[in-house]
Amino acid sequence: MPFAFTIDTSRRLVLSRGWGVLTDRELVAHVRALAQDPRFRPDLHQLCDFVDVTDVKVTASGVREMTGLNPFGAGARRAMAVSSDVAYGMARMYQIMREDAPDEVEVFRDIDAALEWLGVAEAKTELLRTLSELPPLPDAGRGK
Amino acid sequence: MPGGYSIDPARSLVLSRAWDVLTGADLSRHARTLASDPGFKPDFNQLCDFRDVTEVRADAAAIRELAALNPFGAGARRALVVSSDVVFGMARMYQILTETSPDEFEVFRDLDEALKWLGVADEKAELLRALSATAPLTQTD
Repeated sequence: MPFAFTIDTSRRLVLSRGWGVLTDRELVAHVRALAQDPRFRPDLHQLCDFVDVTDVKVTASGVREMTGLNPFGAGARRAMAVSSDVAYGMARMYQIMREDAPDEVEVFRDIDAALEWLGVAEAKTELLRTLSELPPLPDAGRGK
Repeated sequence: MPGGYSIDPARSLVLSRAWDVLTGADLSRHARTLASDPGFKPDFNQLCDFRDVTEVRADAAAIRELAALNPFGAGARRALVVSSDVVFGMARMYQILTETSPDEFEVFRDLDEALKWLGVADEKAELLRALSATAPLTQTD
């Protein structure tokens, strides 16, 4: 699955986007690249645009690795926007089972509701344009 | 609870069925009642028919409690059959995040596949009859 991200430092916001089939490899590569990005801070918020994810093929070890690598900490709000019902169900259970983590994860079917929760609804046009222009992340590469 | 179970001791099989909206309390009650049932053994297999479940409403505490209460142990194969895509997604992630549990848990969209995985495909008609006769668990169960 192609995956991409950038960091909007002025809004203290990570913009991540994935599309196609979601697999362990890209998820872990995304988390690693994000953690290594010098612009990243653990209390940044995140908008994950998974609206164009068509299928989720992740394994227990992949999810464990991703959870273990999670670079977000206290104060971070992370909004996941999904459209597929299966992805929504998986994301909801992921959210439920890691409720004790210091960062807040919320799952949305509607990107407007996600933007509102993050407090950036007024910047919708600009943020969506940025998300749509992100180049795919190489497996072990870095974001834009 | 909109659901219940019966135990088929001859097949070492628990037949569970639920429908409509399931809550965390419903799921915990099912696990507790089963664990205290004298006819239950931890290595029994289980067929969970959730094809008529439309929604699962559970918070983190309820899901953790459910995982902790799980009375199944090594040797048990547990097949969960669902039709809702959202419930399928939730069940798949639950399966992924509880993979270290000693019992084997698998999620299916197709009942025949589940019966085959449990090695009881030949008894489909009888098992479906038993599942359809499942009485709902009550608050006192």
